[in-house]
Amino acid sequence: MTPRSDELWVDMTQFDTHVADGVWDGMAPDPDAPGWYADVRTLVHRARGPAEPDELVDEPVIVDTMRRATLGETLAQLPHRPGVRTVGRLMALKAAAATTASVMTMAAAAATTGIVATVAATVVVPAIQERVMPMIGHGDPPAAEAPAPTDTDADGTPGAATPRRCDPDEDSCVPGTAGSGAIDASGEPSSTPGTTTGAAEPAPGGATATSPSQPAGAQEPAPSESATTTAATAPAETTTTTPTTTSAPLPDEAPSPAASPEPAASPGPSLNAAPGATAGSAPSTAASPPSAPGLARRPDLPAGGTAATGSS
Amino acid sequence: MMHEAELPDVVDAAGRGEHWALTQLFRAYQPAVLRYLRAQAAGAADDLASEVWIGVARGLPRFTGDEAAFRGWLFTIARRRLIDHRRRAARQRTDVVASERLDVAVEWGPSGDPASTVLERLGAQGAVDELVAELTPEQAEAVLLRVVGGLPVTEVARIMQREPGTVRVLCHRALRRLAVHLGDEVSTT
Repeated sequence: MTPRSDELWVDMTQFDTHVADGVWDGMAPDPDAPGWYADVRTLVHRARGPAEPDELVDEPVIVDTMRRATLGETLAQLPHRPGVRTVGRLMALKAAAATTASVMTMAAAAATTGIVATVAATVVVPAIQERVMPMIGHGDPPAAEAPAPTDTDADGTPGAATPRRCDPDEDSCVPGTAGSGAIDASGEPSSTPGTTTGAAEPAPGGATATSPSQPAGAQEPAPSESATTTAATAPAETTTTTPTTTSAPLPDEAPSPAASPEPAASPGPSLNAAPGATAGSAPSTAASPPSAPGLARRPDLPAGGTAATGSS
Repeated sequence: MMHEAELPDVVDAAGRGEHWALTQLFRAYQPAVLRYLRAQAAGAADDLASEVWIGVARGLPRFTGDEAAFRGWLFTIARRRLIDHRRRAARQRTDVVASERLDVAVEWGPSGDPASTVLERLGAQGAVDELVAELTPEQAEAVLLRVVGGLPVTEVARIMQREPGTVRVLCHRALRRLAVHLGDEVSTT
């Protein structure tokens, strides 16, 4: 059977390298090669045939390009030299290092000056309170919760917006006042939070000393938030900026100082009256931490105390 | 191909940018390079061949070796350019088919001439395509380097980064497939 013999011949090429090389060189060393091998040999010979016209069409262009490449002339297609690559990498590393350093410097400066906390307090927290909280609480509950703290803080009577802001203030103030409870004793309204806190805690104190002049009004809200949000990370920095920052440590301290309730009452209204607008932002986040001081106040504050508990 | 004796002088002169030497090298090896590339990337073969020759020109001043070494080096560059092209093509998801191939397909359709007549009419590239038409990519590459490149098994194995035994097995299986394709009588069991 020819097929069988063909199979044997094909298998033989696997073990006899001389035969196998002859097959692919187009020379049939074996007279027993099957008939179809003639076709293979024809293909091999044609595949190794002389150049055809269309294969050398590009000769002028390619040879000229080769000559220029050999002589080292610049070619668009030539890859970059290793030296150029090294210089490029060095430049890229330096640029990356400079960028990193500048970004870290900016971040440190922002954190030190309180810009981040201020922005967070004036922009982020109000936005969350006005849009996100209603969505979470179906709109109604947040409104109900918000007024409660406000009542405690300020007068408790009017619009929900201002009282909400007051909450954070109070929270900040309350804890602050906890620290500032002593403040109240020492100084009165204007100097209240900053100085006292400074006295209570050494590090923030110096910074707070500066803040009291402007204080209660606009800046307080910002620190309150910063205290709530970033208190763990950078308490010292936040405290330096404003008295509100004193509120940051407050949550932690709030439970300890029992004297706070009284001062809380006194500074609370003053803060609410002046800064109310800005202060409102904090409550949502601050609600949980301030709750502790709120509990301390409850006995003192009649209506507000209940409202605060409700919020918490 | 070029004679063993004359290659060192030609390579030396080509490395200095001598036009005649570069032309001689190009005429001697361009057909094989182009057939090798056209069999595997028909649409981009001409461009790839240009890139191959530019690579050759850049490395000529540093090349040392005989004619077989030059062929091995040349097809190593060609294979690398082909691999780069396939990577790019895989990202682009576009297959370029040369118009000549479409014409050939029409001409040699199922109702075409008998096999012997067809083989007689084949050009060089047609013969190469016919050789590897039924082969797997690895088999086709081994056969192309072996036949078109004229390289020994050891050199093919080095270029393909395989063992010589593996290359021999690939060629053997390719021969089996060719037997089935051309003879229609040999069982592959």
